[in-house]
Amino acid sequence: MSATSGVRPTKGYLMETKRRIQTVERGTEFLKLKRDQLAKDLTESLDVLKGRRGLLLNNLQEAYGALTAAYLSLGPMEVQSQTKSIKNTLDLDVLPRSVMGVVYPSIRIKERPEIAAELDITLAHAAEKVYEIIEELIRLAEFEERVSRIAEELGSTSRKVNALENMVIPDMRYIIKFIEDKLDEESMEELVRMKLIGGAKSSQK
Amino acid sequence: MNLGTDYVVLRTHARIADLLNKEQMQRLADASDINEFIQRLKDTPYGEIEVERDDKIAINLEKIFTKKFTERIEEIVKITPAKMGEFLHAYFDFRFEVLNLKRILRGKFTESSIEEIADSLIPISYIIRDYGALIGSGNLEDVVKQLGNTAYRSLIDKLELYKEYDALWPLELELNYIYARNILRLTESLPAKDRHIVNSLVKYETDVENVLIAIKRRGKSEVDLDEIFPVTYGIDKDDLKQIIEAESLAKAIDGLDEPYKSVLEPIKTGDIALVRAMLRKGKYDAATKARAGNQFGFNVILAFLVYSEIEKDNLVGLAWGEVQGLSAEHLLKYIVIPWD
Repeated sequence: MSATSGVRPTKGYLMETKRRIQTVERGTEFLKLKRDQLAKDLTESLDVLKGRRGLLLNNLQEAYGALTAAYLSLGPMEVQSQTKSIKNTLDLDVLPRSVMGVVYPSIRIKERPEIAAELDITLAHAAEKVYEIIEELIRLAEFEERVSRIAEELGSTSRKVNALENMVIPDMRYIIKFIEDKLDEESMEELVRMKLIGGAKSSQK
Repeated sequence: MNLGTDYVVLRTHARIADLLNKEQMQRLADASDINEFIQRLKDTPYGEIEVERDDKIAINLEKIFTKKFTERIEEIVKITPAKMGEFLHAYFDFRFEVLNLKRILRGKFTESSIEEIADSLIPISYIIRDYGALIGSGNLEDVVKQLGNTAYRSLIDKLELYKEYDALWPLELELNYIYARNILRLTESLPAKDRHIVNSLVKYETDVENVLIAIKRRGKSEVDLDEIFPVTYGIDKDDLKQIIEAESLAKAIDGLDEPYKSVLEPIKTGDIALVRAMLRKGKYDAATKARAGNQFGFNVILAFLVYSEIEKDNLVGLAWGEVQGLSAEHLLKYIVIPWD
């Protein structure tokens, strides 16, 4: 379907289209700013994410090592029995948060596990290590989701900017030109007609 | 020395030869997986063992190794002269009973099922004739109240603290104290020459456990030393206070005497679990030294049982590690293998 199908070549429509193209162009500029900001944010976040993942991996390895050592020292039955003394389970609240129109989950820790027994030192050490990384793990999951949503939003914003720059705005410009041409044509016709009418009247006199 | 003791000592010497040596332990640790581990176990005095190879294989093997260990205790206790036998029965069975009581209390605390609690118990008892009644109790307080007519009656006094903190540690620490107090009382029934090794083992263990408890209390304000450390021996409450409050734990450990300093050395490098291995090694060394001092007395019997317990702990750790696919190097780090 042509861009001009359904277009009414009137002055009113031309004014309306010109007003719309101004809005669209301003919107495109905003979207470009958002795209650039998202791209910058994504690049920075990916660097941070890489660092945080590396750090967490190290801490996870340490926690796993401590837990393995506790199992080797105490045996699985005693470890299982001692871990029963953990009073509360981890309770989380997941709330939506929005930055630059990007909605991502924000996690709030409502309740943390609490050790009620006199754990063996090997297990207490392992628990401490695991406890330390719980928040880190949650924050990383939150951050990863945020980065993933930013990437999605960046893709969608880029597609919108491309569509506006390459399709919508050129089409609107074409419509404006089409209407202007039509209107010019019409006014020329009108002028010729007026001149013809004027000529006919003066010859009658 | 009476004839009875001679007989037991001779039998025990023969039994010591049945314990796994360094090469056998190394061979087990080198097994590529748990199936090969079980296969290699066939070539040891443990022989062929029947175990359900499901996802709980490590726990199933732990039960088998524990059973073997309890059988060894029973066999020795049965033939040991009365007072000595009574003491050995108390030294080992009382400890496992305390462990079982802790497991019952933890199970009740988290409202585990009766089956689950029963399954976690070691089939050993000392004072408690039947764990069924305790496990079947409605709640933790009922369990403690049922123990009111036994040597565990002081647990009732700790119920207030348990409620105040909503935590099990006051009861668990009291159980440790009950065990240490009773064992030391029972040593009085032993001949003076045999008392030394037991006293040193019990006191050494209690002291190290106290230090470990103190380390766990670091950074906490208002620690009631009398409540946390009802008994102390070689490391007194001032030393323990120092460990809790010292800015540098390494310096506080350096300030302790031997053998505690060496046992606690791994803490400085952050390898906390190695302390357990060092503690076992300390017990092994103490038992070996005592045995070397008198090859024909009670020391030999006690040493055998100490070695047997270490062997049981080693095999439990190895089996779990094999299931997890850990390397031999990793496995042997935390396991005390006879050095000679």
